[in-house]
Amino acid sequence: MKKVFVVPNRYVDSVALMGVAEKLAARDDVQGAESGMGTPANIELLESLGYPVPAGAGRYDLMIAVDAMDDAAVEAARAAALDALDNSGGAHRRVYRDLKDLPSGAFDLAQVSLPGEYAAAEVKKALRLGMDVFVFSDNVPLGEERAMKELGRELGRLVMGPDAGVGLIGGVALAAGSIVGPGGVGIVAASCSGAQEVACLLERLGAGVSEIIGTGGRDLLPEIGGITMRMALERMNRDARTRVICLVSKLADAGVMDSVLTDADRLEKPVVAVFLGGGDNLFAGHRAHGAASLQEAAEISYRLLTGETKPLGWPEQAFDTLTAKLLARVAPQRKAFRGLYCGGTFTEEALLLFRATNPQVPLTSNLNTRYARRLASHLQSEGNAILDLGAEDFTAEAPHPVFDPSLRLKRLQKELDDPEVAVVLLDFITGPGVSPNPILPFVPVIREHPEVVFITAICGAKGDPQDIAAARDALIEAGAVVADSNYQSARLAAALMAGLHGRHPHE
Amino acid sequence: MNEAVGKPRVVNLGIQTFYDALVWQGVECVQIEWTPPVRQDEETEALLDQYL
Repeated sequence: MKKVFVVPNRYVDSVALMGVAEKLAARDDVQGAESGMGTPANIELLESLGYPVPAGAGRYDLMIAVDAMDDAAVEAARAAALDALDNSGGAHRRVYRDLKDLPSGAFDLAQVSLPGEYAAAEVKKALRLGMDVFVFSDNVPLGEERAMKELGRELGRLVMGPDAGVGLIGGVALAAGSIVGPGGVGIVAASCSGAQEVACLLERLGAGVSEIIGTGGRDLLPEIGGITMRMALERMNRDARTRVICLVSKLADAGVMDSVLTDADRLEKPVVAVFLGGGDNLFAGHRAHGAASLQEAAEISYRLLTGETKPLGWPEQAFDTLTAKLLARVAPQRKAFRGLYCGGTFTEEALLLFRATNPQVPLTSNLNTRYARRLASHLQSEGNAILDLGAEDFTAEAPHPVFDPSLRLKRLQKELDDPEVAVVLLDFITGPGVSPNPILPFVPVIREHPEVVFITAICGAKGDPQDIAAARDALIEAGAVVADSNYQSARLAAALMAGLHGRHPHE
Repeated sequence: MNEAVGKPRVVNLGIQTFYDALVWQGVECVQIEWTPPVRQDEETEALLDQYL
């Protein structure tokens, strides 16, 4: 029997809801379970699955739908769902109803991941209560973003985001960030996976970071004018632990990038900057050290910090030997490359590098980008494809792959059913706020397909709860190549595609 | 700032996984059991926004 319970005026985020539905579905006496807020789309979905949704359920109400054997099983599942929602965080859980109820001055930072339309009001409240704010929420109207950042500036408080995916403040990893060890590089980033990559590469080089301040992807738009990036630069210039400052962004508005670099010219500390896709001319007349890739940004920061040069990745000769060895493994009928990314900046970096090194090789993507032809549907790859599975066309239908690997696992299986696929690339991201098991579910799939070359890269820190050293060993044992960085993984994939294209030059 | 350990004290509004991640890191933190606001007209909302 199918039944829908409605809990009025109760908001639960989609990640928690997904966990509840999974727990219910795993019960022996439950055939199926769904949960969601009572939006028109969710109501329609439940009704299409044959669930009778009670009249009056609205978008502020929580719906728990259960398909179970009998009344008793349905009731037990409902109780289990509410119990799971009420007991997240275990014995440590401390709950307040409203920011205004908090003891005055007891908290330094508010982390906000509410639906975008509600975020601004809470952000402003937190700023007025004397807190810095980290805003993971997306879909915050641009005017609201400007207003909250102006208020923050007026009050001397930092607004990180909206749409900030990673942060590290006082050694605490925020949202999807990694727990990178302490050190002398301060990172200010308008790109989440970009910041995380630079930080984790610095750790691998033997250094660490003082702070990671995410600004949100729109901070360098003319409407915002880099308010957060410029405040963060000042903050890091004052911070005694920070000795080198690293700015990370995708290519942004030319005027705003220039004004940020002009601010950086006035600082005493050395500044490294990567604006992915920008040329050297961006840095003409400025003191900042320009980097062309995330890896190079980490390498330059490390050199400025320690005075030593320590390159990451394969030396030229080892790279050529590896490329030849991998190409020899690929059967003649196999010729396609599929990059299944979960990091947005990683996708961008791969597209850029692929286009720069292989201008003659056709490339497709689900993204609207100048580097590739857009796929007719994100559900079907064509030829060589680089997909961002964290983009909205995918996340509208399933949780973001950093929180739940199942969408990417399914897609990987679909790609592997294609007899033309020769090379698959996977990026992995770890941290206390993402999937507890983001890598190991892929290991058996990789092992079962020795006919395909798997290239992987792990963006994670030693302090993360997922054991990245063990995961790396498992990937290698299953037959995958584990690159030092996202740049190296894309570089290897691009070299393989150049080689395969040489076999089929007219396709 | 919790001076003893140098870590910020954090309030989490929204995704519970992020709260659990803070607990895992030993951060002094609380979760706000946020509920959607009662709908009000725009003028009242703007006033509340200004004074709260």
